[in-house]
Amino acid sequence: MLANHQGLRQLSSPPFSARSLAEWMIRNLHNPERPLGSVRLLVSEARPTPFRHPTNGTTHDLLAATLENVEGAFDGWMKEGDKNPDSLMLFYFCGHGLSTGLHHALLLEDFGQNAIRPLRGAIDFNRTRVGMNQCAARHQCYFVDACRTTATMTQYSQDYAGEVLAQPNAAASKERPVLYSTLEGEEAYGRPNQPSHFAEALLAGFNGAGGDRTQGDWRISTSSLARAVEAHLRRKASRGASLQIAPSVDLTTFDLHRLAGKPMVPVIVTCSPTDANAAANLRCRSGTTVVDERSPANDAWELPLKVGDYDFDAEFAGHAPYRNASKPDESVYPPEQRINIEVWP
Amino acid sequence: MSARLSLRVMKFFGGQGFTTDVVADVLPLSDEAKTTYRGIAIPAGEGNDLPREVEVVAGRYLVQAYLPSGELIRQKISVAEGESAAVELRGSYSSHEWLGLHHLLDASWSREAFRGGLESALWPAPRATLLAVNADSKHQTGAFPIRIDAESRDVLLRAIPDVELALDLPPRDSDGESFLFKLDDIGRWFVAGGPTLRYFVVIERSGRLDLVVVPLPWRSVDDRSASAVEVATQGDPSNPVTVAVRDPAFGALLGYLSNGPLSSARQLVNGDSRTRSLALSALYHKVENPYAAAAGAYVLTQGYAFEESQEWHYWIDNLANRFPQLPDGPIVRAALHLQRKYPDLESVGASFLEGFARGLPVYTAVFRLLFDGLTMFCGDSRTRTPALEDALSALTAVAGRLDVRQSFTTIRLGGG
Repeated sequence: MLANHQGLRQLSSPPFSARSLAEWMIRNLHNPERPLGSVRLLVSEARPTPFRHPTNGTTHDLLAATLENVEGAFDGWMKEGDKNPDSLMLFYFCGHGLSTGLHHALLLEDFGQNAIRPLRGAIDFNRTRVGMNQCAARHQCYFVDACRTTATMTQYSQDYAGEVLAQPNAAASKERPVLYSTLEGEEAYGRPNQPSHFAEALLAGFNGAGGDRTQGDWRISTSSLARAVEAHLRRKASRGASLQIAPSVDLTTFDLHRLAGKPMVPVIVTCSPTDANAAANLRCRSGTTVVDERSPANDAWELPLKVGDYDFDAEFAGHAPYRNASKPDESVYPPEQRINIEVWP
Repeated sequence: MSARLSLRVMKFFGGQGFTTDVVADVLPLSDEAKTTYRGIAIPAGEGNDLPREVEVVAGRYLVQAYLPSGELIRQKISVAEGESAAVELRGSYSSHEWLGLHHLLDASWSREAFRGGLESALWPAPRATLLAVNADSKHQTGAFPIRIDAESRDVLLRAIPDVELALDLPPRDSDGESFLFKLDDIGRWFVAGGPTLRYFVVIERSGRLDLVVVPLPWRSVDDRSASAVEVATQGDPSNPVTVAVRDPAFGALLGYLSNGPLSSARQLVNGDSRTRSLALSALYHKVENPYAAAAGAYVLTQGYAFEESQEWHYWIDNLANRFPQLPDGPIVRAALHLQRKYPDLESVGASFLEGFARGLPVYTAVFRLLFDGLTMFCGDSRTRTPALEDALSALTAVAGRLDVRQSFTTIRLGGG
């Protein structure tokens, strides 16, 4: 039997993305109402490598992300959610996806191995999520880090976008927001051998870019995380805002994580005009203390800073065609802060 | 509270004095200013509108607005005891002022995204056609013009038996790359056709046909005056078709209904009692504008934890019952009743089915409610019926053609 992969290449980013998020969840997730109960991690990688628990150092062999293994892990995950309606259920997928309109297939390792039934190795994400209504857990959040490439496969199969992991039924609605990595039809460009932009955006969001102080302390909610992810992806899109943005569905708001202190916020510092960056020594100060600085470079300077007030300077060598300039007393606040230092000849 | 902030967004909409509310937050930066104010509706317009006044504790604040396009704009402000301070937020610019409202809704209309030049001029101009389809009880199936394989406008029209009107629309504004079609003279067709007509715009471009639900006639929720409905697109068929309504109260709110920033639409309702009143008012005054009522109903039902015995639940029943040309009413009603602890599954299924029979929902978000609802009911042996399965089968094919980025239901027809 010939394989039918629709010309999709193996991505190297998904294992890095999934491992990064799993490590972060185990090490950092802090939700007093819904503490971390369990993590199930399945990856398909060229050289399978055990997972090292980030806090106790134990190693665990990981199952490959085949349909059979994913079904087993999903069943166990759902059973955990059935134990307590107050459970928080988080689902993350990174890999190839096929999509048309509301139909979205998430491709597993064995996608396309059977040329007659190529989508046998895929998850019908929309129906699976609707089917999760039958799980007792009232709070569910889904992160889909996949291309949503339109493919003839889903267009012609119409009502089949892969296996449904939880059969939909007429159960009461749950809060089940989804954060997507891209719009339909636009490829989520993963990065070779490092976490995807979406995974990076999630981690930055959990670490502080998604911070919200409405309730007095700093928290990461589904909505504030979505804003942080969207800001991150817009920033990373090299060809403008429309290349990779982060839409979401059913974005109800509930807490995911609490921060121990002030959040770290991505700060983007640039001269205006931007060609002055190539000659500018950029500096960030807190009072008289230099927090960070950067030598001349073509791009804007991106640095993480704690929420607070800072001064920013652009200094030029004597031969540069610009005069020194400053942007004092700038407030840094989630989800990101842009600092434009206007410089003049 | 002893200080006051005056908040607005400077946005150019083509010099017509138009303003519309967007979502803003006032975030404390200093120790004395401890309270966060989220989900405040503030006006976006050209400067001739009144700003939104917010009473705050004196201190330093970051004022930020999330536009429906996803753009975040912000400004820092200090306000002293007993004083007031004005904040005028400015964001990116649209490629033309006449596209300003579309740019507010969709970042693809930004000046940065505008290419211009020879490449864009190579695409032929799109052809736009306004369709009015009879959707009374005798013609209900005709309200659902699903000829998804139609490659051209003429093929599509031949497949719809109940077309009362097919009118070529000249662009009102164009630069050769972008085209704006304006529907601001709908009154005569509405009167002539009666209240059972449904309206669509068909956009035919190189190798692509888009069928777009347009909410005609749209009467302003504030003063009941007729509001123009705009359709914008480009010759390049890979670019979207966007629909905007020049309604001060609902223009931006409708943009928040699209899949991304729905949380902002919820914030408009949850965070600001004025806007909650607006949604309730639109639902209450459904006779004036059933489309606005449906949008308000959607946000109210999806934005709140369910509570029994709310008066507006009956208003949704009325919306479903009194406007047979509007699919969104029974669909939102079904989704609302499904939130009950012990829903009457038979009546919920019947309501979904009724919504399906009325044709394409006006809003993409409601289309999604219908699709998910039918999927749930057909997956459950207790609720599955042949009629529901037929409906899901038909809807599934259309769901694959839905442009999920748009607020108003937009279906891509043809081969790709």
